[in-house]
Amino acid sequence: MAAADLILTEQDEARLGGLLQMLCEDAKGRAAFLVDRYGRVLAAAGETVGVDATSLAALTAGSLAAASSLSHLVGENAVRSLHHEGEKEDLFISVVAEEAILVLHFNRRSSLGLVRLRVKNASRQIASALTEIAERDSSQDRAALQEELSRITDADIDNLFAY
Amino acid sequence: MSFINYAAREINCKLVYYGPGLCGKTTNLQHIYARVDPGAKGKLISLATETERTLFFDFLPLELGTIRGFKTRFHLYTVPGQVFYDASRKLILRRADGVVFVADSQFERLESNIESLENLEANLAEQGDSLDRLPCVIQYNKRDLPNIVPVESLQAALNPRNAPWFEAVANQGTGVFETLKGVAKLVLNEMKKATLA
Repeated sequence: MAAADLILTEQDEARLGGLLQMLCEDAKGRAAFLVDRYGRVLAAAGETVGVDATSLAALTAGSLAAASSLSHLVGENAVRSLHHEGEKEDLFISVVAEEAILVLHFNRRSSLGLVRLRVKNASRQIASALTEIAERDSSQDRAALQEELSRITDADIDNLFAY
Repeated sequence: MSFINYAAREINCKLVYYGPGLCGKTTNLQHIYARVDPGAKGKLISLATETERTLFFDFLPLELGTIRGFKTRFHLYTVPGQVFYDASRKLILRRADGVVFVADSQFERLESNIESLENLEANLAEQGDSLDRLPCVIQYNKRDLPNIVPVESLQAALNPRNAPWFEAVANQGTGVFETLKGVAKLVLNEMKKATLA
């Protein structure tokens, strides 16, 4: 296992959250989630209360992977986006910067056309933010983290399972 | 790959339960789900066939508590054990922080255990990883059945690296939390080492 290869700071979270919030407003969406290809939530904005974001992230990653495998069967190399159309609630899922996935939850207040357009614009900004986060010198964060994690003892871990 | 959200002070770890079909991977998660405090767990998601065989994966998020101010979240996945679901297994294995290999202790399943372990090693190698580096524990499940292989023989066949191992009867809950704790300990210790590196 490698060291944590993604460390999000408060500023990163605020920046990504701000971009997602802007997307919600521009696309008239209900909520937006940024998750990684491995099923974890990176950031969220909008009407997220009551939504199980953890499960949403895991299923989004699985769904996209299944769609990618399906597309290979017909000679296509990649899936860029997916649209889950429900009776009232829709999800638009789009790959951002290869390693991340943008999920927009919307309903009949918006339209697929508007969502596609706004997601495309937001994806560029989010991709650029993620690149900056990944390329930033995180040695200070890592040093602080090292200091904190080095204090974890076996007893601390045992306490997690104290039932 | 663990993901640390420094802003939210969260450590996220992905643990994968691997093993042959019907060895008890889903049963492990079901027992954990039943026993853990409602506030500490999310939904147990099972993408299964009508006959309750795992089709894609089971997923259980757990938030067991705080270590030194960090919320510690474990994402538990099982892979489908049946041989033909290899694509799903590869996908779920990606970026795993730790693996629990669940072996079926019955004599007639020994060959399936070995095949599944070889499949695990092959799939890890494909993604540039190996059991020499990835934290892994072995659970010898179904120890209550009459036709079981002695632990020494299972160890010789399945555990050449002498990874931590646990005997279990997952459908009764025996050994389930010991196994989870065993792999969690390895993963968190590995994370400490990796951060120090």
